[in-house]
Amino acid sequence: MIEKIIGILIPPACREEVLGDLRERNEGVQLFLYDALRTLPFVIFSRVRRTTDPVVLLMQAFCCYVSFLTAAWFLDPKLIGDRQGLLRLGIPCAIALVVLALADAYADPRKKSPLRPFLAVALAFAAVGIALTIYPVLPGRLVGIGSGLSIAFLLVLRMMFPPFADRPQQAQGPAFWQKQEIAAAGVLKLTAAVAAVLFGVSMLPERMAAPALLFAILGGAVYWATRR
Amino acid sequence: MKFESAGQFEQLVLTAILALRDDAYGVSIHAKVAELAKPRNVSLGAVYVTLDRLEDKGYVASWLADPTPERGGRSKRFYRLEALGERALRESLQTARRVWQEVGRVRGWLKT
Repeated sequence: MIEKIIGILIPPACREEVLGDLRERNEGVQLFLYDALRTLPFVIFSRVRRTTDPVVLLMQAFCCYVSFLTAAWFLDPKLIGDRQGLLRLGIPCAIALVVLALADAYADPRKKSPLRPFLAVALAFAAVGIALTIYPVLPGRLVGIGSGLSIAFLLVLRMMFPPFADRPQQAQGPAFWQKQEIAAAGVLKLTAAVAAVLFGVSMLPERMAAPALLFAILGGAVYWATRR
Repeated sequence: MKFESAGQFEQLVLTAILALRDDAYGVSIHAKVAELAKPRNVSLGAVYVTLDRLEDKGYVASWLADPTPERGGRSKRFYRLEALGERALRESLQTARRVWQEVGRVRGWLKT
């Protein structure tokens, strides 16, 4: 019974060998459970890392956020002006992306289905719907329209860049060859840094925002110049 | 393709696979790595993460064997060192040797 429950929690791609190893290492139920609970987070993390393409994830995050921003622009413009509003618009995106990453990690690479990319998106926004019904941080209509736009964008993106488990495997080829490459190295880091600065500045009181932004821009310029 | 050198834990896992030859699978690799890494504790999960990363880098290849009864009818995933892995391990060894010689020379541990 416990083995079955643990088996469900282990991503299907590595379930067979991980369950076998745990069974071989541990005689009793308690030892098996203890070892399984220690190993499980590593196994899930590793599978998410393998199945998630950071560049595609960034594109999905951008599409998702722009969708909710557009919905807010038309339905509730005050939300965009509000300091916490921009942060609240990111909550459904974060939920959707986490569920999408987990759905891809838990996809069984042996069972190919053309519907899988769409089911993962549907699952992600079902989770968004449930989470925001329980804890309504955004108006329902905004969530509905934002989710609809996001689903359209994400479906196109996932058709262009299928989930990692569904891509054709190269014979003995290193898996990272199949991930998207950014032409200009460091674009991902730069995007993350800009997002972090904007988020940090938006959290500061108004009189401190402009000097802080100026300081961040100057710091970035000095770093860029000295790095060159 | 950019060649990445292996980190310290990756070197331990690569050495374990090399030493175990045809018997390199999760449990045996973990036991060997734990033996090599003494007195550090090594978790099975950390070994899985590293094996996945090494496979992504093309340092090792893996395949599923037939199920065995002592594992509740589950299969073992065996690992084999690839040419890139051998190269990474050789480079790590050469670096370690250079470091050892330099430290030995400075401290007078080695006779010149």
